Amino acid sequence: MTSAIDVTRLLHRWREGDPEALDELTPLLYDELRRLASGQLWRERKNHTLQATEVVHEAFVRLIGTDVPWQDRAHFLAVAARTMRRLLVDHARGRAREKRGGDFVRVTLQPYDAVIEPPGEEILTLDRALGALADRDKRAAAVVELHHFGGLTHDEVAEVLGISPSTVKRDLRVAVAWLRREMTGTAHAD
Amino acid sequence: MQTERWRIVREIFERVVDLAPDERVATLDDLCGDDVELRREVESLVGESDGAETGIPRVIAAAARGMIDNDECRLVTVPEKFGPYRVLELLGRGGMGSVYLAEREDRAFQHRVALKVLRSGLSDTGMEARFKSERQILADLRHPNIARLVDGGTSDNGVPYLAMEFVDGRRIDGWCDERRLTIEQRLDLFRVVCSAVQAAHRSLVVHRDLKPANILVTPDGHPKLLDFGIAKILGPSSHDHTMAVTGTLDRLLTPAFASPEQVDGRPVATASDVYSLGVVLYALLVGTGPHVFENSSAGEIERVICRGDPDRPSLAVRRRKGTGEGARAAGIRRLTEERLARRLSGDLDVIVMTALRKEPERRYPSVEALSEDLRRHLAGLPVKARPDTVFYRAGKFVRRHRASVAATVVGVAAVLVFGVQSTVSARIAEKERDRALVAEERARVEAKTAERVSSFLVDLFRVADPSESRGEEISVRQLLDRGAARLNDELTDEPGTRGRLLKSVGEVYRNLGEYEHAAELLTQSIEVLQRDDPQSAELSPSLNQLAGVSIELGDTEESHRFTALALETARRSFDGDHRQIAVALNNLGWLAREESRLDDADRYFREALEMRIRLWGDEHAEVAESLLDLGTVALDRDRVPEAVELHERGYDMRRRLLGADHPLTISSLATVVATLESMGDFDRGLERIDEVMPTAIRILGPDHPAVADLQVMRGRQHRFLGRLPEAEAAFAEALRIERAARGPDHPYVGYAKVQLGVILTRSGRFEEAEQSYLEALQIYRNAYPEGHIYEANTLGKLAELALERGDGEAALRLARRSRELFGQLLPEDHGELLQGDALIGISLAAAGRGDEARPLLEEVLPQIVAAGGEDCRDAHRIREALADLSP
Repeated sequence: MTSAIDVTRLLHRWREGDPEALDELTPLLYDELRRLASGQLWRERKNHTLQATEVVHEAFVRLIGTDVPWQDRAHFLAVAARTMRRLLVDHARGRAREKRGGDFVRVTLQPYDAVIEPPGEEILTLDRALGALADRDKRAAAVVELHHFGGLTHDEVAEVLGISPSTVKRDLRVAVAWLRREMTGTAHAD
Repeated sequence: MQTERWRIVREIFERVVDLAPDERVATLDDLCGDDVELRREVESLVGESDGAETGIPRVIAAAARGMIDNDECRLVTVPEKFGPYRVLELLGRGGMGSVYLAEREDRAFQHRVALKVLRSGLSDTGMEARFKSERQILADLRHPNIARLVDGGTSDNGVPYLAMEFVDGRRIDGWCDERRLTIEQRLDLFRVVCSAVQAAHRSLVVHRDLKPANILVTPDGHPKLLDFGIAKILGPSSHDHTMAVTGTLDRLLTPAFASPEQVDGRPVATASDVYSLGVVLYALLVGTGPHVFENSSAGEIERVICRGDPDRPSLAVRRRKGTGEGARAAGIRRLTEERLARRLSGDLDVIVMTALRKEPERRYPSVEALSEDLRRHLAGLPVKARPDTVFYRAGKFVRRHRASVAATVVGVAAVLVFGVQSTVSARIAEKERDRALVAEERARVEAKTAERVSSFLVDLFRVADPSESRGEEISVRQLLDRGAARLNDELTDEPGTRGRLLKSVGEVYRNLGEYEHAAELLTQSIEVLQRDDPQSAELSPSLNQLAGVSIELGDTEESHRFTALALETARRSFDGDHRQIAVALNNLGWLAREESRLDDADRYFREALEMRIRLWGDEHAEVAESLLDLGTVALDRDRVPEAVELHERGYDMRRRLLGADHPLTISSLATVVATLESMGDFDRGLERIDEVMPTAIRILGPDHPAVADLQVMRGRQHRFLGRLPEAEAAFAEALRIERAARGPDHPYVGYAKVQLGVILTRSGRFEEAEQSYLEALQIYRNAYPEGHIYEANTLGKLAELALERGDGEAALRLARRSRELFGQLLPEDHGELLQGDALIGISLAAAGRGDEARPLLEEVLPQIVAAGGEDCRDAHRIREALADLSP
């Protein structure tokens, strides 16, 4: 089982420049995140509003503990963010496969009567859009991933990527606009 | 790494996103230049950045939630038992989960129930607790039209369920369609639904998910509402703000019927049910919902419901006219498409749109209020709801040409021709509201037979009125003449009826442009009414009509007399605000305008507008008229942006209320064109005219004065575009019609002659031009007192002609006289005065008086450039003249 010490050690190795540490870290994180997300933990909470970022933060607390230097946390969360994204996408893909068995009712015939399809699959669109954004602007895509999947603050994002917080803000602004457009299908071919 | 293209787009985006719209447009012009693609790219990004930033977190949260849900067990097969209930069959599946028909295992109660088994992921452990607390309230909710919530619990597998009274019925929209219920029948049924919802509200239960699928109708015609209060049980908190915070829109059960506050996650109250009922009502009346969603994403839902602008019912019907769907929907309601649109316009439009307002506090305060207004509508009484005000933004534009005086005349003419005041047709537009008033009027007529006769005749004439028949083949004049002759002999013992009928017929003549006839009949009407009862309130409408006609006839003295008399009579007959008083004020406004008393005109029109708004609210045919009147005066005073705004508002209002093919709508379009002309947009003006011309000819006939006005406008646009032959043809046609319709001495004939003169001058036919001008001058001098603005204008044209002929002295004389008159009539900063000065300067130069010419020209040139731009015609001429002076 994963322990907090293992993760911290791996983190330190990574920061000290050991690229393999990241490879070892990721699967640990994946498992932990998955466990957390699916676990009883969430169901027990009343009035709980689930956010992916909360899952990530919860994972951090469990794996590493709260009094860890800020930089470490930020870097951990960067990895966690990427992992979380993968996790959500994989899951949605899996579900999409299952669904073709016809269990859910899609949009009904009368347009004004349409019941909303549980938007579990929108994540796939977002993932694709984010990939397309990365082709144009790697840094902006990274900012989005860190901020939205990892729950990092602007300052933390800035720290991880080595840019200024105001750059983070600017990146977010244009990236989000672009992503929204991509996702609602109003973009025209570039 | 950033691609090059992206980098550019980003940079521009960052530069413009925070700018005000005007600045943004300008900066985009600079930065994008000709690159349309680039510009569009940036603009679409800017558009997306305006919205709330909830899109992406919502998607992620939903995905995360989905991950949890998946691990709970999902029902694959139909189960056998749920608590004490035995499942009999599957009734259906919906967004919430599945519904089964079931009965109690122990047969303790013989009732069948509908078991709602909630889809996994929608419930959590809190649900049971919530259910318990809601249960008592819901159990107490007993109403014949509400399906009771009987029981609830968790199955052995831990799957929660709700048991409800089983209702054997059909959805309300399907039920209505199958039986092809009329609008009235649908409204009656709907009102029963309303009373049920209202009963629940009284017990403090809000439904939250009203939609046709939840409103069933039993075979004997009783509506039954399902799922009352269920949404609250499902919702994890009493504030329902989960939706916005986490964006778990899968809890929003049926978005199409959800109110904006539900979508936004704000607190939900009885007003949300009002909204949802509004959507249901819309669907029952129109056949589709008010919203159109392009996809089912949360962002789209938010956009459409919270920020969209649905078509009002009658407009929605009109838009889909001619499609199979439209025909089918109308047929099911036992109407033609056009009839359906008309049936829905007016009261029903307003009622539905009031319920659909985005702000809860602006809707009906209760479901009962909504039902009450429907009752009033069905009873023929005025409804309480008032339409929304619509605001228009005046567009940004660049002025290149100043409004020449003559341009506005045509707009006025066109409006006048169709009747400044309320015509029979305008009455039709607010017939719904005035049903009560008409009933009262009718009641005054004593004998039943007389009433029948009078109704018959009035209807007969209504058919003859072009604005009502909209172009159908009827020999209007024959009908009218016959009717007028009959009125001479018949009904002599019923002066009230006769007087009223004479006025109606007179009004129709007026609408047709036969002013002489109209005046005759109206005078007769007044005499008859006065003889019978000098204090009769009926006098007021007739006097108003006559006053209007006298203005149109160009009869200044009579106009003064009649307008004054009309106002006095109206004030005497009615207290406070009244339509006739507003009309009388309006006529005074027109008269003032004819005499260039622009401040007075503005004042009168404004007073009339305010009175009309007080009487009927913001959206009404007569309010539209007042807006257009004010716009015309604004144009006179050279306040072009104001004029544009007022004209467009008025025109759009008319289009909404009266339809695009209504003569009044057409005439207001003419006013809009006049404004376009002053902005220098001749091509667009020409487009608009050509849009309207065939309809005008078809509805009004080729000899109608309004067609003449349109021809004059056309001629002007052609002239400004340099197409002289087309211009001449148009003016000649206009002249022909004017002469026939109004008589050879009518001022509008004079106007047409002036326009023709300009063309002839440009074509080098100086003799003919002069002839035309002089004839025009003669007409004006006969019609108006000395020193009228049209005279000033014509003198100016004669001066130009003299310049063309090289006669500087004559030009100077004429230019000076023209400028003098203008100076007496117009405010100091009016553009026409500037042009007058320029003309004097050029004439001085042509007359060889260079020393006097130069200073004047040099003074005037910068002002001309400031007003009309470097390249305007006047600027050129001045420069030319100056160049000629310096040897």
